[in-house]
Formats: sequence, structure tokens, C-alpha cells
Amino acid sequence: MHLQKSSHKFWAILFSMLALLCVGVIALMHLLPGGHTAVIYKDGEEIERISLDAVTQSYTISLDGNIILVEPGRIRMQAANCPDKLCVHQGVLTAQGRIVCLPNRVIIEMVREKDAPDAKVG
Amino acid sequence: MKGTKRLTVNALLTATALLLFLVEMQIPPLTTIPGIKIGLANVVTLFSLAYCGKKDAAWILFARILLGSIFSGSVSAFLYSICGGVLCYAVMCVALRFLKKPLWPVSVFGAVAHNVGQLAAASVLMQTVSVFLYLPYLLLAAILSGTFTGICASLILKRLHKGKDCAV
Repeated sequence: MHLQKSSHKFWAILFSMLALLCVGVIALMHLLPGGHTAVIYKDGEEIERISLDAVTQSYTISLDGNIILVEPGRIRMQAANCPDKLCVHQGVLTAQGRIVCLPNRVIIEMVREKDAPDAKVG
Repeated sequence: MKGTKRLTVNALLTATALLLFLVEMQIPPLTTIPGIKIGLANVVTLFSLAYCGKKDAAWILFARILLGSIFSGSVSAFLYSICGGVLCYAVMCVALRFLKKPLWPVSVFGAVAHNVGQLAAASVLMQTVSVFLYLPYLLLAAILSGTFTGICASLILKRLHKGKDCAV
């Protein structure tokens, strides 16, 4: 191939640029204004929609395998029965974002009001 | 390679891949984002593709995923693994066809494909496309880990070619 000599450089530059693009997209995702409605999905089905601003007293929701702690303005996975506990370590959700538990197929998603969660993808 | 030699090399590579896979599982997760890992076993996949050819590499990959899932003991891990693995393998086969000389970009393409495959599996299992919001994180991770595993694989190949008479 004709670009063989400089191809190390070519690929390095290409992949660095792609990596930078990813960093940019990630930064943009974090800068987006957050909403305060948490939606909990289990097996792809919405099981609960909570307006976190309206929460005054903390409480927990138990799904089989996961315990979700709902607090005023924030939500977190308190416990999970999966081995890696990634969802628990993902911490508190206060702005737009999501906590995913792959083994138990549970998703907690923070959305803006009247925002269909799937509409944001794309 | 033929006969006993082929069998031995394939068995050795499968064992190596399985070991790397199991050792990597003991490393605590680097981030809280599910699916981000170094992908050490991919070193063996890429190496076997370049060294033993497509057919043997496919068997080594399949054996490693099957045995790895048995040892880690979860069906969903097997599903994620096989979706990522198959896509990674297919993309690396295609990439190797067009790209022989620097080997490491092939590994990056493979790593990206692996993560996309796992995300696809996750979105099917959870019946939601919102997991694809993780895509930028996973792409970034794939570029870094793919470069690393690719460099590892090409270093091993280089060493093997140098000491050809005493090589496996």
C-alpha cells in the first residue's frame, strides 16, 4: 500500500482525533442541563417515574436484587446482589445521567420533565 | 501448521487467552462504567489471527469465551462476551485483509467493534437504546485499550519471527 511508510503516523493521528472527539462528546453530555425526574426501568419496562424535587423524605425502593435509595433531589443504587456492584459504585445521580445494572437489567435514568428518555439518543 | 503441532499451538493459545481473561477479571473495575476493560485476551485473538489463520483463531476465540463464561459462571456474561467477541473477530478479519503492515490499528478496530457488540447485546437484553449513551466512553476506552493490546500482539509476533527456528 502506498501509505505504508507513514501509516503508523496516519493511524495515530486518526485515532487521536477520534479519541478527542469522544472526549468532546462526553464533555458536552456533562454540560447539558440536568432534569429532576428519575425513571426506573426493569427489563426495559418503565416501573416508576419519580419527580425528585417533590421528594421530601428519603425512602427506598426494592426490586429483586437491587435496592434504590430515593432522596430529595437525588437518587442512588444503595445495594445490589451482583458480584461487581458497578451500579452501587456509580454513586448518586443528581443531574442528567443514568445508573445501569447490567446483571439485573435495571436502569435508573434522570431525564428532563416531559422528555421521553429514548428521544435523546441519536 | 498441521497435525499435532497445530493442536498444540491452538491449545496453548486457548490456555493463554483463558488465563489472561481470568486474570483480568480479578482486576478491580477501572471505572464505574460497565464494559470498560483492558481486553488482554484480545492480544491472543489478534496474535492467533495473524499467526494461525482465521479458522483456528475463531476456534480459539470460541473456546476461550465458552470456558471463560463457565469459570465466571454467568449466562449474561457469556452473551455479552460472545456478541462482543464475534463482532470483534469479524471486523479484525476484514481489517487484516486491507491492513497488513502496522498491526495495531487492526486491534483498535477490533476493540471498537467489541464494545459496540456488547452495547448492542445490552440494548437487546435490557430492551432499551439508552445504553448507547455510553458509546463515547466505550469508544474512548476501546481506542486506548486497542492500541495497547495491538502493540502487545505485534511485539510478540516480531519476537517470534526473530527466533524462528526455536519458535513454537
